[in-house]
Amino acid sequence: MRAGRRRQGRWVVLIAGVLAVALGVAVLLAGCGGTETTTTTTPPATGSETTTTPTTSTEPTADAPTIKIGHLDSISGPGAAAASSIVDGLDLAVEKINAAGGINGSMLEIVTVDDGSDMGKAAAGATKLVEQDKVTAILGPFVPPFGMAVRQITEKAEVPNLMFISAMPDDLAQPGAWTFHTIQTFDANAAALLGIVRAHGFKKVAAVSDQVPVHVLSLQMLKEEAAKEGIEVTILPDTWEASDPNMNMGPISNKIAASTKSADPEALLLQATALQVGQVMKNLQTQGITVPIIGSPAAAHPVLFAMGPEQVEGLIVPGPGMLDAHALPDDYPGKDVLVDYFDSFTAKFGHPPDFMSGYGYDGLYLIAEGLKTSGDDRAKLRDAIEGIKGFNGVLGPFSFSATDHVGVHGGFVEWKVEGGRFVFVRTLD
Amino acid sequence: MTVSSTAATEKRLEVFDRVRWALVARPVALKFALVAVLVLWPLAYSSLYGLSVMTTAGLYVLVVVSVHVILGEAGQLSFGHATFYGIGAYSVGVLAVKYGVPTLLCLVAGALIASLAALVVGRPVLRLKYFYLALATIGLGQIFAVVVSQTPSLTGGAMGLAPIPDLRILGYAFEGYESRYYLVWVFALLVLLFTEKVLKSRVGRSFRAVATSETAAATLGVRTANWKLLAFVLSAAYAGLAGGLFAFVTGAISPASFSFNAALLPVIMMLVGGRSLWGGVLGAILMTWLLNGLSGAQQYSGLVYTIVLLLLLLFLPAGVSGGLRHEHRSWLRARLGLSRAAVSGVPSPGGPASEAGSPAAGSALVPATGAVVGPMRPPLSAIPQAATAVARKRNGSSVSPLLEIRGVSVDFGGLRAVNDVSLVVVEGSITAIIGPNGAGKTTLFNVITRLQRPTTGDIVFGGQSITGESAAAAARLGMARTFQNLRIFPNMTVLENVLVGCHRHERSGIFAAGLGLPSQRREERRSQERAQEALALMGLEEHAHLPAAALPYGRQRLVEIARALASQPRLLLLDEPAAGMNGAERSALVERIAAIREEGVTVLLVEHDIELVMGLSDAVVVLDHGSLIGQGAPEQVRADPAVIEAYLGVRRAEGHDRTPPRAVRPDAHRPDGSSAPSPLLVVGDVRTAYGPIEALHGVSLEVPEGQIVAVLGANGAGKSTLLYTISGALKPTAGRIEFAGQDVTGLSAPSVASLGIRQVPEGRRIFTSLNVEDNLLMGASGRPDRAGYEDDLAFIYDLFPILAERRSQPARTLSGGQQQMLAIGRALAGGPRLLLLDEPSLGLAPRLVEHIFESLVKLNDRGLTMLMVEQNAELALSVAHHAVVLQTGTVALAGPAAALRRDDRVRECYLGQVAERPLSVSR
Repeated sequence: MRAGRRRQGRWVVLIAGVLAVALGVAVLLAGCGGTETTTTTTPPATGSETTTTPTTSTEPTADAPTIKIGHLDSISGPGAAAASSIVDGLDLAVEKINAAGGINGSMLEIVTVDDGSDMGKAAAGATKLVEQDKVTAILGPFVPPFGMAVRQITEKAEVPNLMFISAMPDDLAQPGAWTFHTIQTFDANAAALLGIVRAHGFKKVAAVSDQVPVHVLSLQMLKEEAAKEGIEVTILPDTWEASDPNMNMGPISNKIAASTKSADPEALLLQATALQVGQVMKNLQTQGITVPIIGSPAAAHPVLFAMGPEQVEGLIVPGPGMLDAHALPDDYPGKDVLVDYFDSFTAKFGHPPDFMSGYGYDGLYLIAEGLKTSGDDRAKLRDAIEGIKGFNGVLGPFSFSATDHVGVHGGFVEWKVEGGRFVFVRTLD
Repeated sequence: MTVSSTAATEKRLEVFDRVRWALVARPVALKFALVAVLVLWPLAYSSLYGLSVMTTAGLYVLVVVSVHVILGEAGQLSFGHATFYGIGAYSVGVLAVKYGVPTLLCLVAGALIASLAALVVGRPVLRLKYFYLALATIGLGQIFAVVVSQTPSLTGGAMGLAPIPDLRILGYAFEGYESRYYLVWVFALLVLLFTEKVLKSRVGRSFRAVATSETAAATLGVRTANWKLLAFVLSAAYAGLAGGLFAFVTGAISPASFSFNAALLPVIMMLVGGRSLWGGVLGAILMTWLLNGLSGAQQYSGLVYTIVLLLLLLFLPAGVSGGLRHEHRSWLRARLGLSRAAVSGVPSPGGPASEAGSPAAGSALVPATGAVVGPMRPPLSAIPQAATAVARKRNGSSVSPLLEIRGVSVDFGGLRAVNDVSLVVVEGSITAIIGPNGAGKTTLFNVITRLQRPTTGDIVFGGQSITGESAAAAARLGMARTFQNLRIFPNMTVLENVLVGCHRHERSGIFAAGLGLPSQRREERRSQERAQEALALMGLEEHAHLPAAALPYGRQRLVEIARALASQPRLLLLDEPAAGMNGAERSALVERIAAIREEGVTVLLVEHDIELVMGLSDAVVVLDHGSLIGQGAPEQVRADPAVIEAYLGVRRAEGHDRTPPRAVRPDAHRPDGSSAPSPLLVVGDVRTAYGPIEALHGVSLEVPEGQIVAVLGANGAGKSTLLYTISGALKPTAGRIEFAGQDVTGLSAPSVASLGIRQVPEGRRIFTSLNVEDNLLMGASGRPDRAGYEDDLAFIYDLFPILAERRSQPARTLSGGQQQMLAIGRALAGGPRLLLLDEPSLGLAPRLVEHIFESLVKLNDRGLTMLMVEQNAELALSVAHHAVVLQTGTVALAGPAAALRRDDRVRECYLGQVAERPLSVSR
């Protein structure tokens, strides 16, 4: 004990020194904006469009100045799984855009900041992107509460911010001037669910959801809209906190089974995350619930099969066309975009895309679409994005306006789980 | 070449020294520099990102201070700060967003609501200790999370709350990055300065006392439960304030920010910062930059962060600032030739007297009774009872009882430890309790000081029954005690320990201390004076600013007495005050106790040194097996046949005094010089240092096979250090240790033990949670021949039959003497070739001392070699063949025991008087 203290004397200086150097390097690098992974893809030297393997480098080589786009996401921490999909989509998008010659000759450069799944760091990261890296627009974040903190920074700094967060009623009623929510929210979900119920001819369905706000709001909207068509939607009283992926779903499943039996519906709308749907479905089956089960768009994700595909056999989900783009009917609007995405994503990463990868892909393509007319200018870019109409993204068709900062209100297709795959059933729009 | 490289090394060292001097020697300057940098850098280098990160760091500083108060100071392993952080943030969020309350009011409300929550849950939760407390406070966090997620209409549920309006103070809105940065740091620095003052005051001392020994704190009048609660509430207020600021700075809140992860980070920051208040600031800044600055490196940030953390914890367990503690300051002082005052930044108290330095240490041990004690007389207004007691005594008018024990019995399960004892302690007297080990003396002390509830009986103190009172309440009535097994506060300096004794006379609370009100400063000055007087009385002024844990055992005992005295008690209870002291120290102690009595303090003491007891006491009480077997004036008790039978032993009564019985004279079975046995242990020029302080300056000695060598010397001479160096617990910096012809220098303690060197450490250090048999079994680990264990065990039980009787009892239930036997037994269970004994007679009754030393001679006759440290010089010399006298880390004398026993120089040296002439080493 005492001997240790003696040794420590020399270490004090050494360790303090190492730490000081580490800190210095950290501050310096952060200050220069040099540690971000910058992905810039140069167009092939020949300019030939047949080249399929563009080279990636960190040094832009085009004559026109690069345009910096910030990406703020939970690269580490509990949110890391979702972020890695988003990064994949974003990487693919920047690669393709730059390979095609960039935006009017300017290469796109992505500056990524990891918020470590922490709100304070998300806010600091947004500040860094805005003030230090001077990005033209920001993609992200993904975690809803972080969006509220980041939004205050980007609105004040007047930077277009495309968040991967579903808009809430307030956001729809009064969108932030600089804030866009470029993914579907409860209105699209409710419409898709209603479309499925209608197509199957159900007149009486039960619905249950976890406490994820989009799920709760979707069911409320669905109930109202369905009533107009004479379809009865019973929202079961049971609910649970979805934030713990390791939660034992047994007890809540038993309650859902009991409520379902007493409601006696033709189908059950089970609005839960992909990780929890399987557990609930398995429990419901053992409790003798045999009616068709319709999941939420959040369940249209391959992680659904993580606990064994047999658990979720027969589940019906609304999901984007990218899940199996080749299966879509030829007249499906934007099929060419979806097939291109599906093929190029599968070629690059070795597995088909999930809807979260679409967040990054569509987000950057929307910015690119705006940049084509706006040039490297934050205010003009904001206006240009508001002017985008009928743009076919991989999540669905986008049309923005000064009052609509969500842009995508459809794009779902009915899928059915068969043998660990999503099998196309019908289009819904 | 060599010369130039040496010069380069020295040059480098010089730079290091300067840097370290700047860091350590001038803490005040360092703080000013830190504040200046914090204020100025945003002006010099404008980076909004940097400001944003530093704002977060400032918030963390507040939480780290919160953790420092509850965990670092009060020692309570609470993770409640994340919850209180959240409560502060949500109070602000809900009040500002949902109710539109003015923002500054929200901030204040956030801190208040967090404190209130702590006040409500604190009392029940703080009854728990260690991991249980940690679990309970983590549970609080879960409750908070559930409440937030289940009240979405108010808190926004999992989605959180936003936007939170900007904080406005007097119409100024904190909306820009700079203004928020300064907002947070002004709060952080104010809290730091406030807390620093609080922690230096009685409040901080009470926190630290509660952290290490609630028992000792309670016996000094510290109401421990209240102080723990206060620390908890203060910690919650800081966390709540930080949470409120966080809400304003971030503009949005969600429950995830206040999870268990959020609770861990500030604890890590505190540890990285070195568990000091200002170190925590460095820790918070460092970690925040690491977390944010490296986040650009994406997937590697977690790795880098973890590696830095591991490096820190492995090599710098005391943190960035923690390595720079007292030893280093002394070392720096030595190197740079600075005076202590300059280095410590504290003016050396006691003035020129304490500057006289170590040569005066010896003389300081002998008090000039009148002169030193004089100032101890308390201001009459402070303790009227004592004053009247003195007056009464002086008038000779009364012999009123101060303490009455009426029919007290204590049962531990089926064992009756104290059996229907009644006794009276007369005001102004010195009363001694004697009796064999395990007679129930300490239990009786515990009953009197309210640490132990009696099964039956009543205790009356100063005419008032205190049977139902708490230990702290009893102490506040004017009783103070010391402990047989020391309970000093190791996390404080000697002076601070003694200042805790002043606790019951102090009134200042947190705000008086934190704001440095004049009344508080006056009170603190008075307490400082009182503590200095108590230190002076025990001859400890020299050591006032040393960490109490760094003192040798005997001096720690004096610290306890000084601490008890500083409370200016009416009744002082001393549990074996002379244990671990040598002859000179004992006689000084006798004078001091007599002087204390002269001041009107009644003294009740337990002591085994029968000469001390007889010479000092007015009355003697004898306990045996929990019952009173004799009572009266010393002479009367000494002649009582029952007392002689139970305690003194026949020889004592016959006047044989200190010479223990010897079955065999050492000379009788030792052949003369020509065929001297070969040395089993050779210690050659060994040096050992604690940090920069060298305790052994080249000690050489030999222990011949089959003989006993005694090591004598005053407290602090390096005796225990020598034994620990031989047993491998300490590594020597130079020299060589050879055992049975094998070089064992620098081997680990287990390796040394497995070679056959077993140590009986000072203060026993038995495994209190294991039973007797398992303790002995632990001692057998590493012995080369498992086969002989059964025989040895039988021999140990034969030697100490009481151990056989209690073989399945937990060791903590043994009395002090039985624990000593167990410690020796445990060492013997290892089948030793060499036994290292550190103070084997410490705390033992005379008959037991006889028994132990008879046993040691028996063991020696069976061929066991021993190296023994013993304060009782005559006793040690009567059984040893050879002896070595250590003086301040060097061998002052060595020779045959019989010769040294007659040597006047030994008496001088050993009795602690300053040797005018250097003693030559005679072999």
